[in-house]
Amino acid sequence: MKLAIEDIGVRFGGLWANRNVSFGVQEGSISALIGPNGAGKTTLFNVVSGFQAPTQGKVSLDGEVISGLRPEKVALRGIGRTFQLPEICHDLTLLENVMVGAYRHIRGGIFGQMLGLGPAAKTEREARESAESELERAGLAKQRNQSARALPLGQVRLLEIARALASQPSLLLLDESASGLNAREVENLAHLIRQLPARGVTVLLIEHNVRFVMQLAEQIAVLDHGQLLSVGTPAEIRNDESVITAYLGRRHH
Amino acid sequence: MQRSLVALLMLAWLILPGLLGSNSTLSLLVFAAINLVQVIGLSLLFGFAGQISLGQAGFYGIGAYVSSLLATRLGVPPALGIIAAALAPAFLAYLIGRPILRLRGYYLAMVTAGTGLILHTVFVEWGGLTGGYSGVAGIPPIAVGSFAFDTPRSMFYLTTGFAILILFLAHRMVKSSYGRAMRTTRESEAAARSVGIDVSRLKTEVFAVSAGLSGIAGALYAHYIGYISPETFTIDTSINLLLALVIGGVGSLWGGAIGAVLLTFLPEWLHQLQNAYGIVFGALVIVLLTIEPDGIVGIVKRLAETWRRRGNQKLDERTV
Repeated sequence: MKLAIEDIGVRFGGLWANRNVSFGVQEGSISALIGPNGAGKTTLFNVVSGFQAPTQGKVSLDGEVISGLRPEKVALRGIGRTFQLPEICHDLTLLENVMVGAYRHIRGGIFGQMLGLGPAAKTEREARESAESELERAGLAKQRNQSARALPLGQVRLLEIARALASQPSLLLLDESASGLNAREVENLAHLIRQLPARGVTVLLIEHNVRFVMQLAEQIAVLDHGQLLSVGTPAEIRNDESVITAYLGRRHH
Repeated sequence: MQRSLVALLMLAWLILPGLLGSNSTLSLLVFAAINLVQVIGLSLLFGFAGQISLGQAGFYGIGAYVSSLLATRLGVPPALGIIAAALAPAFLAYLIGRPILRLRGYYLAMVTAGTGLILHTVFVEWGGLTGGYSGVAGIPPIAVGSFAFDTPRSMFYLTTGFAILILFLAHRMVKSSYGRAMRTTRESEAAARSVGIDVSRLKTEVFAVSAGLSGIAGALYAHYIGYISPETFTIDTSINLLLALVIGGVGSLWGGAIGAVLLTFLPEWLHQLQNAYGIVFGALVIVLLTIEPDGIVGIVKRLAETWRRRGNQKLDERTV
């Protein structure tokens, strides 16, 4: 088991944004987290990535408990993420934005970096190379030296994914990466995500586009009102009565 | 092309003191270089890492007092005193940085202003050490071996040398991975943390660097004019430094450098205005920032862009 979410509960005042949520994500798989708006999907992502401390329960990665760690520590353990409202640096070029992802691989300390000494120069070069290839995979290579300021939303999402991948995570959390993308961009994104397990990246994604999820994920977890409604393969979820009434059903009416 | 430009600037730097002849202009250039060291520190902290400080004059003062008192009381050579003058405020900033840099925007501005006020009070009230309002006099010039930097001309080379070195190192810093982390932290702490950047550590470190640079500036100032008193290290000075940065351009090191030079020379140029100086200076700031939030560097960039576009248009017309 790559990621184990055990009995997670998050309480905001009198409201439980997550309650008794437990499920696992297999190493090298693509899993999805779906559910209506306000179901607690992003809250659960925040718990896994350290941005939200759980009120109860724990999260472990490769058998080690990571819940309670600060986000930057979680990132150092190899969990990358994107944000529902993309968070990028508009002042940097696309290439520089992606190179920020490789921050944890840069060696040599601040003075080594300033003076361009051995390990700093070497890791900087590697960061540049890996950022270049991530931009290539994301289809943004042509704009690499442009400022990220004028980038349309679809490409901003791809840029965020490229940055997260440049940190070479073993688990990648994607928060609604397909929203705001046009049909061709969604197709490219699906292609990009499908290749990740082969690169050693386990994927957990939040998505509203059900068709996109069904064709991509091996496992789907459904949240509703903060609670786990069901976990299973796409086929199982499609035929699950409680899911159909609570979520899919509502969309078909 | 770039190499010849650098060579030309070097040449200008070497012959400038000879050309000027007058010591008063040379002296202003010394102050400009000292201010530049400080404004670059503030540029790293505010312009790049996004953390405002209205307390830099306090660190400037610590640097000035530490180096002066070491020299006058203990006979420590000023060349060593400068190192202490950098470390002492950097250490203090590092200690108070973690708790106060949790605050943002206005709150951080107020807390750093408060820090500056406390330090100013210490300079005034700790009379036994600082000499209170009468300050410290008889501060020796910086000396290396038997050579003393005791003329405007020698101090011009020393301070501009410092300024160029620090500008160069700051440039390397902002271009490095650390610099990208600073800029990402300024725009989105969430993004920075999601890739493993310890933002509270980074902010504290940059705060310490900026305090250390202010400390160096303080020591250079003290050993140059030979006398210091608390009135140099007030919140007015902190605000002027921030204004200098904003006028020059927050988002670039060149902006900081231009701002520092203007901060030094404008009062001299607008000397005839006497009491109206504040009004004219204030009006300049308002007009400039209303036109272009990125200050002078922003305006220059915009003009360059317009010229480039006009050039391209002419080229297009010719090809058509």
